[in-house]
Amino acid sequence: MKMMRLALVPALFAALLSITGAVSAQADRSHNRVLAAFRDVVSESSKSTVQITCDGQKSALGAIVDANGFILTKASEIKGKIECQLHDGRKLEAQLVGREPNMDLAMLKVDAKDLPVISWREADAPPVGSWLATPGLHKDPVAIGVVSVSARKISAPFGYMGVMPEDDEAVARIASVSRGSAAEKAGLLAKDVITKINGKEVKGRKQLVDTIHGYQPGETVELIVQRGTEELNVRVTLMSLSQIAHNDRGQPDRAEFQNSLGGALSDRRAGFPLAIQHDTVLRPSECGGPLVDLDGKVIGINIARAGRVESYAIPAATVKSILADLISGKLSPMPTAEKVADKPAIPTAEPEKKVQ
Amino acid sequence: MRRTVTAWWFFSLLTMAALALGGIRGSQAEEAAPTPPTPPAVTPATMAEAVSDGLSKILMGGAPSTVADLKAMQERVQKLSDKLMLATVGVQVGQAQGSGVIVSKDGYVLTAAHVSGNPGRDVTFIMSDGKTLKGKTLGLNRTIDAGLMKIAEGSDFPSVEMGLSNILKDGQWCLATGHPGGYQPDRKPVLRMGRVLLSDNSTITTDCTLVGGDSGGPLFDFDGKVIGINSRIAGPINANMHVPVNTFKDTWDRMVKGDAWGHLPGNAPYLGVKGDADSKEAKIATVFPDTPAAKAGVMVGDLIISVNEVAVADYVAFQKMINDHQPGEELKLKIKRGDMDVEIKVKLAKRGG
Repeated sequence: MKMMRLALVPALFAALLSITGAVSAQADRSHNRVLAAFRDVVSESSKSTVQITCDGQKSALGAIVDANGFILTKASEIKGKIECQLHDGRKLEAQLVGREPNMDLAMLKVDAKDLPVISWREADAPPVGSWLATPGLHKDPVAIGVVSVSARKISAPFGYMGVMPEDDEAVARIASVSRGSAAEKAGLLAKDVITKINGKEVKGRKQLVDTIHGYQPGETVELIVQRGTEELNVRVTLMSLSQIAHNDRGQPDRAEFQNSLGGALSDRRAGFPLAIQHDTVLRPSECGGPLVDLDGKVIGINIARAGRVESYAIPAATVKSILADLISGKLSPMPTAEKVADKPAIPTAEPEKKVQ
Repeated sequence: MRRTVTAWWFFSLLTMAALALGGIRGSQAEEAAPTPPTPPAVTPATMAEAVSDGLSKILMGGAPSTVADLKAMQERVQKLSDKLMLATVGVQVGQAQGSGVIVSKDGYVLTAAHVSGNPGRDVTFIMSDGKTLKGKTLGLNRTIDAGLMKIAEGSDFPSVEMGLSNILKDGQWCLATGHPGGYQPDRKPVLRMGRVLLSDNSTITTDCTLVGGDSGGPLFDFDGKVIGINSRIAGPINANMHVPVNTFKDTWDRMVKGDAWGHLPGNAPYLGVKGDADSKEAKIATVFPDTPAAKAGVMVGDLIISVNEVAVADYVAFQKMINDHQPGEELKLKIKRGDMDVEIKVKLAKRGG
């Protein structure tokens, strides 16, 4: 056994060298020489791209959609004090003036006039295999890629706490808490009665399940819990069904683990009415800005780094349909109390035992 | 640093058997390929169109330098993509979900060995239009992670040709397809573009990003020919490994026959004995404590007569026979112990596990 491990070391070492070689290869897709070929492609759109910082942190890119200072970006990355850096170097404070939760888009407003506006692609969405560039503020694009899948709906997975409720439609009482679950981490116990979720009263098993399913994995909900005579406030960060099932069995979630290899993912990365999938490798903070074709026309807004092999963009036509409402303030920036998320009718996998 | 080289095998989303031993093992020594290669009949190159010198230089490893170059590349990919998608299939074998590519009109499908698992298993193929077809797994070379399968119903399947993996150039442009995360009815096979970063007889590394579910899917050159099969990844985003397609061609007859050989990394069988080098028979010199052999009661001095009723000539032959089995399999050993005949059942463990 020991012999085998030792025997493997040279193989590992060889692999290490080769992969290190790969990282610094002369010839990877995103090599400087390849990026440089895209300079003409992004020369116009980069002037309409802004770098957004929130509380001093680079949080997202944005797209200038109106010359009077309206900037579109990814809503869930925006918080705190917002500053936009323009292509010309100006740094301007921005206000949040609109939000569309289903697409996760937000409208910012800066005090400026005559800004260069992005130029939308008027033709149909580009076919699979088309080159795409994500402009930043510099002459080379931030990243490049190709269309992997034409636009489709990206369903939002249900959020799970990992509790089995009692079969009672009057009271939402926990029968058991599954091992390593979100509920266990939050300190929930069997016999606890959940009375409110984010301020909304829940009565009975079904309401509990339906309400929690209205949120996505990664979202945090605030519960009011009755434990004996005590009333407690409990914050639970929801998990996916697969995480709950794996933790309960004490096994790592391989799919999630593999998707995390190669870089961080956007927190909000599912539940979009329509999205083009492309293979551009983006950081979460590089989402929110324009995505252009080889003619420099904007084909969509990057909305999520969703996995090791996938980034999503909301198609131009879909974005354009809500622009006026985002600018006019019709789509209020205040987060809605009750979430209306785009959910599949049936979860894609059944739990081994019924959780929640 | 070491941690970044571990390769994670794409066991399906459902199969949770941990197989996290990295490194790429040299496999050539183990395969003294006996049968002369007989690759399947292929249709004449239909994709071999006139390509401008400039584009061809780029495709073979150069960098595009103008928007016109990029457009020429894009046009080629757009032209190819339908054909590549049609030949890419989703596969389900037992609990495993992966991908595959049809390489002949009569339905031979290349995949990864860790998707097909064993010869003779039932496979459900999911075509690009969502139609499902039944078939079987054939042979597999586990060491290099190559597996062959065949669709059993229908004919005249959309197929692509196998290309050459021995003439790949560093920087050569390539395309990968597959079903990352498993087949999804509302999603066609997923296209990725990248370049060959490294290649040798056992592995092609590219920056076409892969993830679980892509296993068994094809890596194409810009002629639309299969040059590799998606196999595994390591931490860095540009460490995506594929099985070179030549391995299929070199061992085609064995694969078609349903031979299975080699072991996935980290999945070699382990008995826990050492032979007596001075003996002409399969004589046990050492039984390591706490091993399958020790637990089953194999003793020093035992002569192994047969394994599963197959006679054993000497210790080298015995070792080879053990190596033809998989961890978890139970073997029946006939043993001569002094003047006694002993029969022992022993369940193989995983080497290093």
